[in-house]
Amino acid sequence: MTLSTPHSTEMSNEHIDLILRFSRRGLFILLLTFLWLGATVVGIAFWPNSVLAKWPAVVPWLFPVVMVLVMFALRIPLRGRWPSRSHKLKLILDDEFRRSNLARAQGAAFAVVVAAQVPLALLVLHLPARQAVIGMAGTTMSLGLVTLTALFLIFDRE
Amino acid sequence: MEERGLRNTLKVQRAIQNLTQAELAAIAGVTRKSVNAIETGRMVPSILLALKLARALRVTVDTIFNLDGGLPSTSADGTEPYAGLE
Repeated sequence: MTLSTPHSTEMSNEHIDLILRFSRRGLFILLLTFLWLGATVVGIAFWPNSVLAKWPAVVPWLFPVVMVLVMFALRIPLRGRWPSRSHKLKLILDDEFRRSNLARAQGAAFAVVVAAQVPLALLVLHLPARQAVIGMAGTTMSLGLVTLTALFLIFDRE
Repeated sequence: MEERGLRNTLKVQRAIQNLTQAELAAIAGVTRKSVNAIETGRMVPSILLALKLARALRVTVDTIFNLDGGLPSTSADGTEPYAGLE
């Protein structure tokens, strides 16, 4: 086992912490995105005349523009040091704590999605078939993704 | 997610070696979060990670991880446990 110098180890740890912070911020933005898109789908299914349902037709450029701006803002602290294939990124992705938290979040999200099916079916019962399908599918996906991301962020905190 | 009955002395062993969480994490090939989670009892590491940590700290695994109360000196039927294994 070769040990690096204290200075290089310190630099490496700083960089890993930076990537971890970037990852958490990115996941938080992803959570907000899922909430935004989920609310839109729910709006289309349950309240087709609301602002929630109509914004994609009125300002179709809003979502991509916001996403691009957010991505640029997120990458500013990295100052171009994104380690696309570095061992640091592999270390973070293979990290045992991260993987166990992801597995716990996946299990819980699956349970929430399964448990939500009957209440959801009762909710869309009075809707026309097309809206009911959009409502069920959209709400299920949004609920699963929001639960997964939120629980992962909670479990993975220090 | 603390495992009942499992104790660890990772923090103590790390202090003996005069290592920070980040330094130990770098040697063992994990993130500082993992080391922190193990030290605070929020995570029970896999055998592989336990071995890596033990090697990084130059101690045996059971120096870091041990069962609360230790192992029974005799089994339920009165015989010596692990007899004949040596």
